[in-house]
Amino acid sequence: MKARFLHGKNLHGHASLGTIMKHFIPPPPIFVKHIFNIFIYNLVIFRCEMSSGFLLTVFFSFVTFQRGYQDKEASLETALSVRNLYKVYNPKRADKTVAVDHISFDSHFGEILGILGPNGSGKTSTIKSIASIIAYEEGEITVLGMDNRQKRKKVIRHIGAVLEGSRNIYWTMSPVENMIYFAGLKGMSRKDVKERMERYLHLLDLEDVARKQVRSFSKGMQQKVAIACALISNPEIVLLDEPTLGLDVETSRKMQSFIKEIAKEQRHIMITSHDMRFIEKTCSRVLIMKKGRLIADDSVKNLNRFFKKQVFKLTVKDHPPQALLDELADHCEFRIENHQEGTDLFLILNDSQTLYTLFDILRRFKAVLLGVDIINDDLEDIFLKLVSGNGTIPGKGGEES
Amino acid sequence: MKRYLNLFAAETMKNIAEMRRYLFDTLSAVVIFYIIFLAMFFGLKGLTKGQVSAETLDQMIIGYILWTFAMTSFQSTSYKIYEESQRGTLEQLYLCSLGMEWTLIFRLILDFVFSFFFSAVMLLITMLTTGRWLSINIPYVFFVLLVSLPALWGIGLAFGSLSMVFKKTTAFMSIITFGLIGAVALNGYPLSPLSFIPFTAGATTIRMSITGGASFPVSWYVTIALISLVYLTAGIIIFKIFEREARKKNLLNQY
Repeated sequence: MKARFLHGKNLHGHASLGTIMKHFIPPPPIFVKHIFNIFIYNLVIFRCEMSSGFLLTVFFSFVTFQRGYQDKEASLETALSVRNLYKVYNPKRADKTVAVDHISFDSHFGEILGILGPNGSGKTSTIKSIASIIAYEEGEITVLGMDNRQKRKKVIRHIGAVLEGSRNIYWTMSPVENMIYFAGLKGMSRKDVKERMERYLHLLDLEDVARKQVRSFSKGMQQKVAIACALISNPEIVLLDEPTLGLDVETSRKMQSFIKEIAKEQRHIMITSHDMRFIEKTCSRVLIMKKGRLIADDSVKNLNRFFKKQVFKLTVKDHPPQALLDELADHCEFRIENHQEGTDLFLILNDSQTLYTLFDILRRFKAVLLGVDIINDDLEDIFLKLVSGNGTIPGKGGEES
Repeated sequence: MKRYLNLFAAETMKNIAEMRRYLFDTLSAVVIFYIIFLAMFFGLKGLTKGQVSAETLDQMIIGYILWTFAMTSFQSTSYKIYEESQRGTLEQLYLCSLGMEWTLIFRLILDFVFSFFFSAVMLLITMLTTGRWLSINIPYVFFVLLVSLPALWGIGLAFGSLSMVFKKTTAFMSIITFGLIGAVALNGYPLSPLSFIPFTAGATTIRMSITGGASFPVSWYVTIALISLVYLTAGIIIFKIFEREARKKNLLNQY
C-alpha cells in the first residue's frame, strides 16, 4: 500500500470518456445550429458557391470542434492546480504570520476534496486564494487551466463559494430573491436558473420558506440558502468553507447527502471543516494542513487503512500488578482506566497476532479477563495523530514533512 | 452584453426588494427631509420677519434639493460599500464574474434614477409648501447632474474603500455629508478655486439656470465634466489601492 503525498500526482477522480462526451458536446439542436451558422457565414463572407461552402463548413466545423474539444479536454483532468502557494500576513512586521507555506496539490472533476486542519492551519487562506478573494504572495493557482491572477474574472465565473466568517447571503431577501441575485452576479437571468432553483429548493427542503425573509431562518437553513446560492450558476468548482459550522446533526447529514448528490454532476467540490465525521463520510480525498503546510494528501480510504492500528479494550478484574504492566509495555503501547469492576486496558496493536502474546502474559499473572472489545480508529484519530506530530507520513521516512 | 443586462436586472430586483423590506425607512427618509425643510423655511421666515424675497426662497428650495441629491450620490457609493462590509457580503460581491466594479456602477445608475425621482417628489412637496413654483428644464438639469455628479461618485468610492480597510469610517463620512452643504452653497461660476470643489460648479450651474435663467458656454460644461473626471479617476485609483490592501490582509470578510 503506497499512499500519495505532497507533490505526488494523484489520480483520483478521472472522468470516463463517456462522461467527457456527455458533458462537453452540445445537445443536437445547438450542434446543428452551429454547423448551420458556419455554413451561412461561409456563403456570405466568402461569397462562395454551395459546394465550396459545404467543404469550407466541414473544414471549419472540424477545426472549431477539434479546438473546443482539446481545450475542454485539457481542463478536464485537473479541475484546479495549486503550485507552491505562499500567503503571509503582515510580511514586513516582526509578528508576520505565514498562513500558507508553499503548498502544492491538484484536484479533479468528480472529486470531493476535504481540507482538515486545526485553527490557523491555512485552510481558509487556501480556499480564498483559489477564489482570488485574497491576494497571495507566491505561487500559482490554475482553475480549469486558467491562471486565477491573470484571468480572474473568467476564473470566478466557474467558482461558487460559501465562505466561513461571511454572511454569504442577504438576510433582507428571500431564498428565491437571493438565488436570482446571485445568478445575476454571474451574468445569468431568472429564466436561466429557474429549473435549478426549483430543484435546489426541493433538495434542501426550502420550498415552504422560499418567499420568506432569510433573516428569520435558523443557522442551518441560512447555510442551506448560502449553498444553493453558491450553486445556482452551476459552477464547475464549488468551495465550501466550514459548511457544517453551527449545524445540528440532522442538518449536517442532509447537507452531506446533498453535497454527494451535486458532486455527481461532474464538478469539483472542495470542503474545509472541523467536522471530521462529515469529511470522512463526504469526501473522497483529504488534505491535512498544519501551520500552513500540507502534511498529508490522500484518499480517506488510504489514510484510514494506513494509519489504522487496532485498539483493543481488555477488561480485567481488580488492578493488575506493576510487573504485568511492565511486561505489557514491552509489547505494545497502552493506557489504563480504573473503575469499580476492575481495570480497562486500552492496547494499541500493530497486528492482531500480538494479542495472543498478551493473553499469555495475562494468563501467567493469573489476571481474570472480564471482556474484550475492538475499538476502531477513525479519521479523527488519524488527524489528531498527524497534527499533534505523532503521526508518521509514508514515503517520508517517518519524518513529519 | 446579455450578462451585463442580467446583472443590472438582478441589482434592480435587489434594490426594489430592499426598498420594500425597508418601507418604513424609505418613507421616514422623505418625512425627515420634509421636516428639515420646514424647519429651514419657517426659520428663515422668522429671521426675516416674514419678508422672504422670492429669489431667496428659490435659492433655498434649489439649494436644499441639490444637497439631498448630492448626499444620496455620495452615499450611494460610500455607504453601499460600508454596508456590504458590515453585512459580511462583500466577499460574495467579489465573486461577481463581471467584476465588483460593475455591481457598483449599476448601483450608482439605479441610485441616480431613484434619487432623481426622490428629489422630484421632494421638489414638488417643497413648492407646494412655499407656494413658489419654479420653472425647471428637467432634461437640462438631468444633463448637468450627469456631468457633475461623477465627482461625488469618485469621493464616495474613495471613502467606501477606506471602510474596507479601516471598517469604522462613519464619523468621517458624516462630516463629508455636511460638508456637501458648503459644496452646494458656494459659488463655482466663473472658474475659480471654488469651482474645483466636487459638485460645486454643477450645483452653481443648475441654481443659476433655474433661478436666474442664466446660460453657459459649452466650454463650461466641458470644464465641469473634466473636474468630475479627475475626482472619479482619483476615486477609482484610491478604491483599487485600498481594495488591494484589503485583499492582501484578508479584511473583506471582517465586520
